[in-house]
Amino acid sequence: MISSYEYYHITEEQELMVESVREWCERNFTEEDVKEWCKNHRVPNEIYKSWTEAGFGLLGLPEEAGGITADSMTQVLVLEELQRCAGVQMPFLITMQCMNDLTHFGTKEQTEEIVHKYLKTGSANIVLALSEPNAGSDSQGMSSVVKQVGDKLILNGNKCWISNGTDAEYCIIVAKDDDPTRTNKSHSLWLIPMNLPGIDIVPAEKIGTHLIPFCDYYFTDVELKEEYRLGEKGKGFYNLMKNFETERLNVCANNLGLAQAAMDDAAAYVSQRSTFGKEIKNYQLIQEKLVRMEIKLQNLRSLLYKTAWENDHRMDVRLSTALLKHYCNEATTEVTDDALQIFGGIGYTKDTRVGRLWVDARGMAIGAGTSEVMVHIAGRILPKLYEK
Amino acid sequence: MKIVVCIKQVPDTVDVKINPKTNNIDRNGIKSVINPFDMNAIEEAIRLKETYGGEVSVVTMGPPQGRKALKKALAMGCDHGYLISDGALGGADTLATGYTLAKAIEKIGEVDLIFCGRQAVDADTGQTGPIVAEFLDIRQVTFASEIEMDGAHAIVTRLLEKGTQKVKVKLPVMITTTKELNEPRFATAMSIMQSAKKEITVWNSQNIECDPNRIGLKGSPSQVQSIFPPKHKTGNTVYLEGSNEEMAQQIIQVLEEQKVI
Repeated sequence: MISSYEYYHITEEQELMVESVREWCERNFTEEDVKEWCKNHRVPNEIYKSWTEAGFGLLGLPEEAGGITADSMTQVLVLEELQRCAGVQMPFLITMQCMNDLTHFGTKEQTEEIVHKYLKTGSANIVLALSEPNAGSDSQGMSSVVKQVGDKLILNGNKCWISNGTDAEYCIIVAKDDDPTRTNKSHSLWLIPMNLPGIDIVPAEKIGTHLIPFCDYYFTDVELKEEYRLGEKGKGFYNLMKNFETERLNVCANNLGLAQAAMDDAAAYVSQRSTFGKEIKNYQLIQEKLVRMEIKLQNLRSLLYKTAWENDHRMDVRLSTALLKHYCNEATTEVTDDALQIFGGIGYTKDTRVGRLWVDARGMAIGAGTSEVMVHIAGRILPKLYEK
Repeated sequence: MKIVVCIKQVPDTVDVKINPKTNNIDRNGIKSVINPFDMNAIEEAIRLKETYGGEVSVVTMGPPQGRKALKKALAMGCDHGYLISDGALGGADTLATGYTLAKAIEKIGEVDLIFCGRQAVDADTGQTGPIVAEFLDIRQVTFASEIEMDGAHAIVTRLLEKGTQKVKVKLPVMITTTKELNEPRFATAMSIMQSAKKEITVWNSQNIECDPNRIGLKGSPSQVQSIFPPKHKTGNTVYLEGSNEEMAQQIIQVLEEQKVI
């Protein structure tokens, strides 16, 4: 019988990578540590450093920036295993995503210092600020704008729900060029030092993903320099979109790991918990839950690996990632919810990690594209695909 | 310096189950890992290579799945992998295994240091390493907890039941390793990627010129009749009460009564 890894053409190196991630987690932290980190809303600096030293934080970054060339499948496998072992939404993906955008669009002068620090410390000193109160996936609704005033470039606007934003030394933002109105389709990316006058950071509280602090940024007459611009003027959103598919793949890998962790815990718990004189694994209502959870996990894994494979083979994955993210949002929310239900009362306490898995998975069903936006993308492609 | 490490894949000890019908280890769906003491052997070989230069080859005998263990050793930093795989080698006891590994090491040639784990955690015999040394007619030092090199000699600290012993031994030598020797490294993403370029050579018993009468079942004077879990003995349990000091005093009293101390 072939293993599923053979079926998915997963290489020996990729399998070793998964094993190493598991070993890294076992060597670096326990569930008690994770609980403590969640209370402090921080992963300790030495954990960031260790993740980068182990090379996992460098996967996918260009080699000339000190990264390790890795395909989507490898990145997906690493993230899935990390989340499965940690049982919490870890902040590394955000850092990797920012470094990815920075190294792709930035000049050597812009990136050198940040990349050097990242390689040395693994610390998240850069964040990506895209969403605004009235503009998420609807980029045209954005009102942050950089205007030329005399010989100065002035930024005004508001970005919200910025993951890891409170500790950042730099942020990448997308803002409209010159004119904030809806009809203006010219955006630029900017790499902004966070110590510039006119920037206010306001921490925001959220219901989950406690390892990733959240905040809003307010920019009031912030004076920028031309050298802060990342990439070409007017191509900001277009450039960012190039990485959306990869981001969605990675987010789905993250959430699959969380849902798998919920399954791991719930499937073990049914043999420990007895009601009315027998272990709850003997009740058909519980069995049905487990079966449905497993089907969703296997379906999601198939869809994820297939999309990663397509991405690695330079195929157009706009439809595949939209379908994947839509299914992932539903499946991981349902699997973690069923796991919580199996645990019953204790699942709603902080004595187990299933409540954390439930709320963290729910958060990422919104981030990187809601199901509704995925329908918006896939729904427009499908009729064309089936057109006779 | 040319170093060879002999490794064995064993069932993950947490998962070991014995099939009550066959009285043998049930390997169905059981994850295999590199024998933990062999991990110390790999680590020490790589550390010596990093300090003194040279190359490290890693050898295992077994079915094709053994390749996975070799890949991990290569990802940790070994240079060459050798899989000795042949249906004729099946059922080998420690004598036949030691003979086969020695023949493979002979074929690799001009080896200065051979490392083996002190014992495999599945069979726990601790015999294979010394048998390899005997077949190669070289010196051997068992239970190493510290190793230094001094030119053509190795200075090995041996871990004994009551203390340690320091031995200076001329190369070539076979050394068995304990967990006290080092902390095995972790295969980083970079080293795993680099290991993709390292090849694994597969040899059968003929490639390494084995005598067919000395390998596999044919070459094994000992055979396992059955494996069984030890019977659980239940005794009278005494629960101690009081402060830590009081409980410690009670333990001492029991040990004295039993003439343990």
